[in-house]
Amino acid sequence: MVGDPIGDYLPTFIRFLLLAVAVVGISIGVHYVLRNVFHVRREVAIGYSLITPWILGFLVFNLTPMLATLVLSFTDYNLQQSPNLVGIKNYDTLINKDVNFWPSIRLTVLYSIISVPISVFFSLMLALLLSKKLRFIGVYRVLYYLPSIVPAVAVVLLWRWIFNPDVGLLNTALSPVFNLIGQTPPDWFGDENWVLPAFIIMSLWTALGNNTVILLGSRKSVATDLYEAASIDGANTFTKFFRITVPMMTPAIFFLVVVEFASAMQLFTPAAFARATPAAGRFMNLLIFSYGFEQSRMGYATALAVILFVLILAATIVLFRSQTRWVYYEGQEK
Amino acid sequence: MSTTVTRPTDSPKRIPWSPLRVGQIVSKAATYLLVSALGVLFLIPLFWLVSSSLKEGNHIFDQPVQWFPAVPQWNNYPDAWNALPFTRFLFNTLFVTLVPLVAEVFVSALVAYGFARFAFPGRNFLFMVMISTMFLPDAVKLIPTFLIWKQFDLINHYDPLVLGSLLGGTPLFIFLMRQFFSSVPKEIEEAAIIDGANVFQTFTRVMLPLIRPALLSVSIIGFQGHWNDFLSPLIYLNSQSKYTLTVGMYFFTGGVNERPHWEWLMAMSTLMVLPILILFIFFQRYFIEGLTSGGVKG
Amino acid sequence: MLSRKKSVFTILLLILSLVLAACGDGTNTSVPGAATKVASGATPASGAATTAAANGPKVELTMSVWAGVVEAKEFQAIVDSINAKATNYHVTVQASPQEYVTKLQTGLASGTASDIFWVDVDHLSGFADKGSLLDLTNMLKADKTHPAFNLDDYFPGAIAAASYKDKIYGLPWIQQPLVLYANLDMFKAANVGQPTAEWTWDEFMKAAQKLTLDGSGKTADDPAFDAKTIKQWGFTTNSTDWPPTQMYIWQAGGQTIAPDFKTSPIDSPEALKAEQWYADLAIKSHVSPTPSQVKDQGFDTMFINGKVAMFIGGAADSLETRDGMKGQAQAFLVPKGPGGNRLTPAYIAFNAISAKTKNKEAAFAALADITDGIQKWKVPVPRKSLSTKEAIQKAQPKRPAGSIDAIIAALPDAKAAPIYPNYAQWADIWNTQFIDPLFRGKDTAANLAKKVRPLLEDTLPK
Repeated sequence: MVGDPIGDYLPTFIRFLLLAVAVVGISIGVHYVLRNVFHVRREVAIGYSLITPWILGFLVFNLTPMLATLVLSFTDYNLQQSPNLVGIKNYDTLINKDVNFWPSIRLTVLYSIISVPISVFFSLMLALLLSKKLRFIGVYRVLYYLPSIVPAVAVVLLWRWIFNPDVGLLNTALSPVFNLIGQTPPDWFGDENWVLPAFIIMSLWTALGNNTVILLGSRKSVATDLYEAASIDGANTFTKFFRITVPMMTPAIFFLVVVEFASAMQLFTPAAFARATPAAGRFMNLLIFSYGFEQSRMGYATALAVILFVLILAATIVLFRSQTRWVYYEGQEK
Repeated sequence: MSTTVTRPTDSPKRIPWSPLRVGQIVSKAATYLLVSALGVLFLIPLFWLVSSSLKEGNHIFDQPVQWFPAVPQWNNYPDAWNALPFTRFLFNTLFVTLVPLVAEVFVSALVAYGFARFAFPGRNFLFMVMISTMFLPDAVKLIPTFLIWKQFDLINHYDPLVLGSLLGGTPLFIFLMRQFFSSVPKEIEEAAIIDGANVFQTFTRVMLPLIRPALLSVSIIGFQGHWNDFLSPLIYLNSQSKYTLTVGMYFFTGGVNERPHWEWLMAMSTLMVLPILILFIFFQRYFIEGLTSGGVKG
Repeated sequence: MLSRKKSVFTILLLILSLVLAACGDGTNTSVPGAATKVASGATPASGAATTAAANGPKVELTMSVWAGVVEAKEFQAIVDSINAKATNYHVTVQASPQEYVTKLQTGLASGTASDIFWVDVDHLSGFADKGSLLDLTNMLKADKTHPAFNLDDYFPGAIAAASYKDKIYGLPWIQQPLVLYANLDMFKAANVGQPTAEWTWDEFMKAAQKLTLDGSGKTADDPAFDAKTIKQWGFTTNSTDWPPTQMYIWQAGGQTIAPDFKTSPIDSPEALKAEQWYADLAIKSHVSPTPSQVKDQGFDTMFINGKVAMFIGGAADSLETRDGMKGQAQAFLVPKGPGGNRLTPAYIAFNAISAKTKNKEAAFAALADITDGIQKWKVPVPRKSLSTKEAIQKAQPKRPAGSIDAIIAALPDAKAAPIYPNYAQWADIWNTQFIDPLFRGKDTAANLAKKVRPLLEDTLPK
C-alpha cells in the first residue's frame, strides 16, 4: 500500500485515546468540583458533568469561529491580508446596494418555508407505510434508502438529467398532463419562474433516506400496549393513528422540522450544481461562498452569513416556543 | 397497524366475503401496489448509476438515455480503482469514519442524556446555543476552524477529521437523542435507581437500549456523513496518500485542462454505495426488525 | 472514597496525557518528509542523485497544482526526474483539481500555502495585489543562465500578463489561443468547404447553417427547415459564455474593459453588434443546440460524438486526438470579425512563488527547473524558442500537421484579457446580470448593456 498507513494512523489514534481520557477526566472532575467544592445538588452536578464534553467542544470549536464571524462581518477581509475594520459598511451595502441580496433572501426563505412541511409530511407518510407488517417490507425499506446513499456528485448529474426540459424523466412523465392543458413542459432550471418549484421537488429527495429512518425509529418506539389498550376501548384505525401514533411521534417530527429548516436555509450542494438561472436569485449559502472564496470578499460574505444565522435563529426560537402546543414528551418533567 | 384483536369466542368458521374483510384485502393490496411502485421509483437512481458506470465516458449523457449499454465496459471498475491509490484511500476513509463515529454516538448520547433528564440552571439556554451552532454555514467556519487546528500544528494529519468527535459529538445527534430520551417515561429510570443503579449504569443498561432506533439512525447518518465528506479531507489533507475515497473520486471530475472521467466517477460512486448499503441492511434487520411488539417498553 | 481515588487517578492521567500529546507533535511533522526523501532517493537516476545525498540536506518544497488524474501522473513523472537531478531541493506535489482556489486561499490565510503554486491569468493580479506572491523581477533579471529565465524569449503579452504594477510575479508556462475545431468528415458529407484563413463571421455562419441538418436532411438556411427534429448542428455554444462573448466583442473592435481600467464600454456600437450577433446565433439561428441540450451533455462531448461539426476551444484541448473522436478533425484559425481582427482571449497559466515561503533561493531554483519541465510538456508555450512547429509536434506527436500550423498562426492574436484585482466581482455581475438574460432571450443586448454597464463600472478600481 502506498505511503505509510500505520505511521499516519497511529499518532492520531493515540492522541484520540488520550483526548478521550482527558475528556472523561475533566467531566468527572467537573462533577467532583461541583459536588464537593460548591455543594450543588446531585442532579445539577450530574447534568453539568454530562454536558461537559459539549461545553469543551463549544469553547474550542464554536465560540471562536462564532465570535470571529461576528467581528469579521464588520471588516474588509480578503483572506490574504489582515482584516481592517469598516464598521457597518458591509451590512449597508448588502441591504441597500447589492443587486443579489434581496432575491437571495426571497428564494432561500420561500424555499425553506415551503419545502420543509412538504418534505416532513412525505417522510412521515413513507415511514408509516414502511412500518407496516407486510411480507418483504424489509426489502422495501432497503430499496427506499438506496437513492439517498448515492454520492452527491453522482446525484447531481442524475438530477440534471431528471430535470432536463427536453428528454428528462420529469417532463417525459408529466407531458400528458401538460398536453392536456396545452402548455409546454417547463424549462425547470432555465426559467426563473420554475426554479423554486424545481428545488422544492428536489427537496423531496431528502424526504427519503435519513429522515424516514428517524421517523421509522420513532414509529417503532411507540409502545404497542398503547394500541392494545385503545383497541380494548373500541378505537378504530383512524383514531389510533391520530390520537396515538402521530402524537407519540411529535418529538421526532419536531426535530425534523427544526433541522430541515436550518438545513434548507443553508442549501449548498444541490444549488451549486443545478446551475439554475441566477435571475431567480441565488441561495444565500451559495452567495456567501461565492463572495468569500471566489471574490475574496470574506468580510462581506461573513456579514451575509450573520444575517442568515439571525434568520434561522429567529425561526427556530419561534418553533421552540410553539412546542408546548403540539409536541408531546412523555418523560419530560418541565 | 393492521393488528386485529382476536377474542377467544371467535368461531372457527368465518364468513369469507364480509365488507370488513373485502376492505382489508383491498387496503392490503393497495398498500402492496403503492410500496412496489415506490420501490421501482427508488431503484431508478441506483440503476442509472450502475448503468452509467458501464458505459464509455463520451456516451453517458447521450439523449435519450440508454438503460442497458450495448457493450458493458466492465473495465471501468479496475481502471478507476487503479487510476489512483484507492486501496489506501479505502483504509483512510475507514479510519476517519469508524473512529469518530464511535465517539460521536457515545458522547452525543451522554450529552443528550444530560440535557434531557437533568434539570440544571441554564439548561434550556445552553441547549439553544448548542442548536444554533448548526446555523453557521461552512464557508465562514472554514477559515477560523482551520486556524485553530493550525495552532496545534495538526494540518495534514488525520486529527482534524477525527478528534472533534470527542468534544461534544454532533449537535444534530445530541438533539435527536435528547428527543428520544425525553419520550421515555420517568418511571423506568426511577425503577432503575430504586434497584441501586448509578447514573452510568442507568445510562448504559436502561436508557441506551430504549433508544435503539435513535442509535441506529445516528450511526447510519454518522457513517454516511464521514464516508461521503469531501470538503474537510480536501482542506486538511495535503499528501495524496492520505486522501479519502471521496477526495480521490473528485479527481475524476476533471480539471482545468483535463476532461472529466464520468465513467470512472460512476464506477467509484457505485462502489462507495456498497458499504453503506450493507450497513443499512444489517442494522435494519437487527434494530428495526428486532423490536418485537410489546417488548419495547415496560 | 472510591470516587476520590478515581478522581485523583484521573487527574494524574490528564496531566500525563497532556504531556504526551505535547511531545507527540514534535516528532510527527518530520516523518512524512523523511518518508518521501527515502522514496525519492531510491529511484534510479544518474550519478547526480548519489552526489546530491552527499551534498547535505535538500530543502523540502511543496507545490500546489490543479491537475486532474492523468495530468497529475504526467506531472509527477516530470517532477520525479527533476528531483533526481536537483542538488539542493526536493519538491512534493499536492494536486487538488476541485476547489483549487478555495484551498489555496485557505492556505494563504493560515500561512500553510505551498511554496510554489499554479496561478492562472484570472487570479494573478488579485493575489499579487494582496501581497501573496513573491516579486520575481530582480531575481529573474539577475539570472542570465537558465533558459526558462530568459525574458527575451517569452512573448511580451505573456510577461505583461504575469506582471502587476510593473513587477513580474509569475513565469508563464502555457498561453493558449482559441482555435476552431472542425470535423472534416462532416464537412465532406455536407459538401461544405473547409475553414480558411479568409473566413469572416458571415462565411462561418453560412457554413454552420449548411452543416445543421434536420430530420429530413434539410439545412438550417432552408425555409422548410424543421427546428424540432435537428439531428446534427453546425456549431455549439454553451450557456456559461463559451466561446466567450468577450472574444466576439474584441473581434468587432470593442472592449469589455478599457485598457486603462476606467470604463467598461459594453454598450459601444461595436460591442453591441457583437453581443447581439452572438446571442442571435445561440438563440435564433438553430445552428447551435439549446442550452439545456448542451448543459447536460458536455458540449465538447457533442463534438467528439460527431453531433456537432465545429467547436471553438483552446489549442491544447486537442480534440482531434481524444478518445472516441468520431471522424477526422483538425484545428483552424477562428473567423475574422467585423473589426477586421481575429483576437482570441488567451488562457495563460503561471508558476508563482508564495511571498511567505521560507526558502526563497531554493524555491527560485526549483521554479526554473519546473517551469522548463512543464514548458516541454505543455503546448503551446509562450516562448519563441519552444513555439516552433517542431517543438509542438514533438510534444504532441499524434496531432495533425495542419492543426499545428493553425495553432502557430493563432498565437500572435492571442491576447490576455484585462484583469484587475477585483475582476471576480466584475465577472460575477457580467455573467449573472448580462450574459444570463441575454442568452435566454429575455432582452436585447442594447437594453441590457445600458442597464448593466454602471454596475460593472462600480467594481472597477477607483
